[in-house]
Amino acid sequence: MIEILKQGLQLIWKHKKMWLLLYAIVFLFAAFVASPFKKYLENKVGHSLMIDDIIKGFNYTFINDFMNAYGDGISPILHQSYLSIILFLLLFIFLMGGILSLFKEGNHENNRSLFWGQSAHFFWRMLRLSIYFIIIHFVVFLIFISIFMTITKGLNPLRLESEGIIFSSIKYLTPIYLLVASFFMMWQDYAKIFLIHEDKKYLIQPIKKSFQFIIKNIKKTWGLYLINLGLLLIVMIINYFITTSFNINSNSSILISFIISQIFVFSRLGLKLLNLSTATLLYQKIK
Amino acid sequence: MGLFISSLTGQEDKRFKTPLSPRTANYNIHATLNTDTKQIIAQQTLTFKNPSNDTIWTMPFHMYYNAFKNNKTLFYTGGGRIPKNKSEEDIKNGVWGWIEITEVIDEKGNNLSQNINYVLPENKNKEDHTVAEIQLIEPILPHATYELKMKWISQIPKAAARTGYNRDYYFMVQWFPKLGVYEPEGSRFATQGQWNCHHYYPTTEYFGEFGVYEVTLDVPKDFIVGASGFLLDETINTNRKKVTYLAEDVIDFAWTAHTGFEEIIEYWEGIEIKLLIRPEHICNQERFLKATKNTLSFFENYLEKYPYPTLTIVSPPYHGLFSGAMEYPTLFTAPTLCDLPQGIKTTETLTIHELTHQYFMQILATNEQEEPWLDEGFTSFFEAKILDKYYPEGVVHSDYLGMNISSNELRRGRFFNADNIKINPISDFGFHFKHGSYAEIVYGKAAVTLKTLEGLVGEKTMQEIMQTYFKRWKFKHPCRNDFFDVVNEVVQKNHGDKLGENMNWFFEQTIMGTEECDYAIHSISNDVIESPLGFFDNISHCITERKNDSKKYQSKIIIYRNGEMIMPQEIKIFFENGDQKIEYWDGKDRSFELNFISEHKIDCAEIDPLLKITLDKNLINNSYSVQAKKTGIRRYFTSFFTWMENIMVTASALI
Repeated sequence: MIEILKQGLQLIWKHKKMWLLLYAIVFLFAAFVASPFKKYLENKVGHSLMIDDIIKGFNYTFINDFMNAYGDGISPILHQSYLSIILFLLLFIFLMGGILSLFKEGNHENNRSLFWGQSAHFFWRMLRLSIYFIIIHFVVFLIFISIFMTITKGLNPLRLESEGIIFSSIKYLTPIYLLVASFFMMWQDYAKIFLIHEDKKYLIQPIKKSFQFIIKNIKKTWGLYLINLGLLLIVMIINYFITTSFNINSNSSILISFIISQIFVFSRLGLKLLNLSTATLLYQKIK
Repeated sequence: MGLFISSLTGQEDKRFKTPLSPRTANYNIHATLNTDTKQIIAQQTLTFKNPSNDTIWTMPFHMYYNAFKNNKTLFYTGGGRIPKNKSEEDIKNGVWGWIEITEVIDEKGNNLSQNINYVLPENKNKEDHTVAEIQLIEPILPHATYELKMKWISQIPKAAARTGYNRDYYFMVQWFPKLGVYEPEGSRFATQGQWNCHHYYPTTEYFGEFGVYEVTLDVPKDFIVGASGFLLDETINTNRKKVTYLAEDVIDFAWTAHTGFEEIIEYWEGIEIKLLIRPEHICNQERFLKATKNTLSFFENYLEKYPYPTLTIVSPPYHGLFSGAMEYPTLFTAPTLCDLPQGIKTTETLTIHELTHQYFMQILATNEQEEPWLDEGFTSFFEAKILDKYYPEGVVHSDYLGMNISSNELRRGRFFNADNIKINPISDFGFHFKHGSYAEIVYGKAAVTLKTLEGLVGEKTMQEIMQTYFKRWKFKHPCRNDFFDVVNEVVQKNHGDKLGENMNWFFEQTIMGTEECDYAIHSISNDVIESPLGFFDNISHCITERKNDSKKYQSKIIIYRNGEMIMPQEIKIFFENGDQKIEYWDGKDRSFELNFISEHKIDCAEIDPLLKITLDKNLINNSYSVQAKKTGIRRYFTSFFTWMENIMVTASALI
């Protein structure tokens, strides 16, 4: 596993331009939404002294009065956000073919043409595959919600002896759900890898074969996936400690905080790529 | 064979040596709880002292449990915030609640049982039996005492709003036939002597007469009982026990019984604080007790010491949440959850709020059905005051999110987030709020209004107002005019005509009116004053050169009154050299300008810099800086930017 992780890291480092490209896309989409938000704030409240009060962060009175007085102007920005997220996901689905093809080829010379060519080549199948798995994720989520609501008797206070059952259900069901959901996410990753490697017209084969592959090598596949999830958790904890270790009360501290947040976003994208690269390497090694 | 718990006899006598109230309606009740049939079988003796010069021929009684008798009562069909769902299973099994008087005998031995009628004083809903009137054979003479013996039976409603049972938890409030309040001519709004006894509406709560309650409860032995007043006697036999409570100078009597309670008793300055709490909530025991002691201490300093010898806090089980967070004389409920983050101060908020009602509802016994703001609004005002004093970290607090929301902020926010802040004036009857926003106006707007009044008159004068109002009206039934009179008297004494001849202008807008308040600084300009050029005194001399005097600016601030409400305003002006000035405006015109000639430009200006008028709907436009403020906007921009990025990366896990 450690060896695969090392190789996976080398692989994404080799394709660092792709990593940067993904980060740039995320950055631009966020900027596309955040810029009008900034403009709107400047226009409506930019001259208020109350702006000094919000430097520290969450300010209930400001947010409340802002939404009551100027909230109508926020709706188009929120709609723009939803649209941006959908467009970003479509673009990410498009790029998935290129990303996995680069990982598949490892040392291919003409990376750029391979990346874009394969992105276009696999787009519609990747899109369909994503839709199928979004449905599966939704069903899994619904099953867990149903279990939760059954155990907690619909959260009806009159039917429960105490609230303990609600909190213990959350406590125990959440990690189980995350484990189960991670299995389906992993299955989705391997289905994409099978699709890239075998280039089949119909999706049923990569979905079926990837499932068989995972089950056959469950320790390795799920183990690797959980290690990658663990790395993500570590990055999140580090980010939490860094961001809570200093007060934001000036332009310089805002800048530092923003840089840290960008490093965090960049790291999350790196971990996503690491997950895909290590899964590809594991597949190639076992296959 | 009964066993008398002799330890009780060793306790000091907690009875008041001198009555605190007029003790107009006094009850002696013997009630037996049947946990199999979920019924109460009781007999009660009511001793009523006619407080008026009138001869009274009828007596109306609240029959609150009849609100749960069928699905056509005012309680079930009325709008409001109380959920009135009933399970299909209960409907099939005929699980409803009701109360019926089976026998009434007056002091002369006349049987009045046939003289009971359900009355409809203010509506035509014949299915509502929440007010019963007894036609007397012998009248009650002016200032005479009259005794009435009654037998009654009630079917306890299952988990109804505020009262009822679920499993082995019983919360018994509004549980007995309770006499209305007789208002003699001149009291409150009465132009002639009259009974005040409204039906039971879902939105509002209660109005009661002062008296002494001696109540004996016969319950299964394993039940832990809590009640208004203090324990007089306890007798235990094989399966059952009888407990007798005495509550003096109170307007109501409530009790609870549950097998799962643990009893925690502490003392504060001679007051016995009893916490009835479930084992799973013990973790919050200290939070309850600390909040209770803080509140008692606050009122001891601000108004007067809590006068009763006991205080019972009921922390209901989760399956008893129907009993809500409610206040009754010397007893209140405050739900808690141990799994909530410590930064959320719900336990403290509910404890402080319900305990404050001991002053505003119980001691100052206002009519919550007709003037709900006089107890809920006052209570919310003090709740915020106490919370912000003892919990400065905020009632919703998170270091990670940089969140610190004070109680005052939360109250103000809730009011302005109402669906319609103009739907009814604060002064309206509670049951006139048929289309929502009841809590936002009666609790929220009233609290913000009192906070604004405090801002205008100052904290010291506000305390004097409250002290005078309390002292003058404790153990009586004040109405809003009584409060207004005190305000006018104290403000005039302390401030003269500074705020006007009286404060009626304030109350007419805030309490009786529905206008909203919003003042805004529209603009600030700083124009250089040109030195004189051209012909002035005669046409033979033309000034053609600019003087090289030091530059001067003509600065102008324009202020708008966007709302209908008129409030006097202070305006603070900041000059670029650090100088500051305060100007005053009566706030009446739709727009107003301030002009200055100075060597220094105006940097910024702020209306109401000390935030006295929290009723102002938009505090953001209360100030204006000539130079745009960038830093705060950058903070929100970068946060929003980063959230968007993280949402996108997180969403990508699905594809």
